Amino acid sequence: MRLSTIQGNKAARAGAVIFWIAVWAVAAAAIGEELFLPSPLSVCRSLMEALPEASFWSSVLFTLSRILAGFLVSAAAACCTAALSYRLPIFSLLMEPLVQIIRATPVASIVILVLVWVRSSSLSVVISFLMVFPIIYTNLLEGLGKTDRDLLEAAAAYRMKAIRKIRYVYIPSVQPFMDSAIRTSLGLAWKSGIAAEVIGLPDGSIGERLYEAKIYLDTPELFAWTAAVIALAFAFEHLFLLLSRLAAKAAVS
Amino acid sequence: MKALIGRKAFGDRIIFSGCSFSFPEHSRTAILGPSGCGKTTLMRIAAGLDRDWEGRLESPPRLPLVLFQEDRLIESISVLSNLRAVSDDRRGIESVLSSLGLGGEERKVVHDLSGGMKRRLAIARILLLDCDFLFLDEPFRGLDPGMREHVASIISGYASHRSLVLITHDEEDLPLLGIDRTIRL
Repeated sequence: MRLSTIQGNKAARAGAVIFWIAVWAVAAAAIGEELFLPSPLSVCRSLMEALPEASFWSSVLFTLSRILAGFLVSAAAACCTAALSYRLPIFSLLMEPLVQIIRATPVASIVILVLVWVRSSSLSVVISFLMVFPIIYTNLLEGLGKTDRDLLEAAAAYRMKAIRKIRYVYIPSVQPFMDSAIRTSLGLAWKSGIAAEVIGLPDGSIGERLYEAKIYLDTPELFAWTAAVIALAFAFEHLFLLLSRLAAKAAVS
Repeated sequence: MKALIGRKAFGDRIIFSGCSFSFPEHSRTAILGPSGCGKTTLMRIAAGLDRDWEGRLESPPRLPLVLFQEDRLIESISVLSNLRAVSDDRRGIESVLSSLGLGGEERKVVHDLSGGMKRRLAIARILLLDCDFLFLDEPFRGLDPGMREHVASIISGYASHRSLVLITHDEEDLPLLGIDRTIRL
């Protein structure tokens, strides 16, 4: 069976997840020490205990709203600047070093610097913005640059107006690049946003809860929060991919 | 319309040098010649798509329209969306699709169509637009003989009050479009 066929099979993918959970369970049983590696069952128990608590949801809401705000503002800014860079080579030249610097700077350096400028409660918004921007900008610019020249010539020959050119030529062309950018950047926004919260410790954030779990050596809770973050990242990645595809479909209908 | 070409070259390869080509109004002209002789280049010059040449166009087309040799369709979107990209005329779209045997295919994504269907869709797209000069570059590529005649009759009707320039290497295409002048390269 071909790899693509196996990967497209939902049952096979679920099987792969179950396999790794089984590996985890065996490893936890072999170590036999919850402090180092809690079992999947105790992590699940810890998560189930946290789920009915209001403080769990308020922490999720706190972090979620900030990471998504950073992601959305960054995506909008990246779309505008990528379009400008595509049209104006001088603007692209100006953007290049800025994007390179943002991309290369370690998250920890940015977090410490940003903590000097803003309150810790706004930290994950800024970090999410900065991590997402270079990925979406670069992907969109590449997608725009790879728009079929023949199609653009045909659009001009058929006297297509600018808005139609955007809807029918550019949007279908950049759609695969946007999908790839969403996949990469949203995951990174979660990772870096929460890492920033662990450093900045804003009150009521997931990062603070992770830090507390570490301080109190509550490894099952640490794992439970991590599992919650993975689930949130997974859900929002799929939601945004769906929204992006629906928007692209609506543009050409 | 007259193209007075001082020089047209691709790198060191000179395509045209010191020559002129005329395309009288309301005429049906065919540009004939083997592959690579410059037929499409001449069409691109006459249609105003190529500006990288020495010379000038006298009385250039006011509203040129080109059917490219390649279909140049937006492959990832539907048949209907490809036509809506150039026209809002829903009835016109329905009419051209039906006349070209594409009725009922509106929702299909272009990359799922056969080569012949794509060619007909490319032709449908130009039929929705107005022009004074219609340039057709190998319009019947990929169409079977029966469909060629049918498509030719539709194009002929569209071009009845317009100037038409046909680019082909196949002389059998000439009577299909009622060609009255030929330029051999």
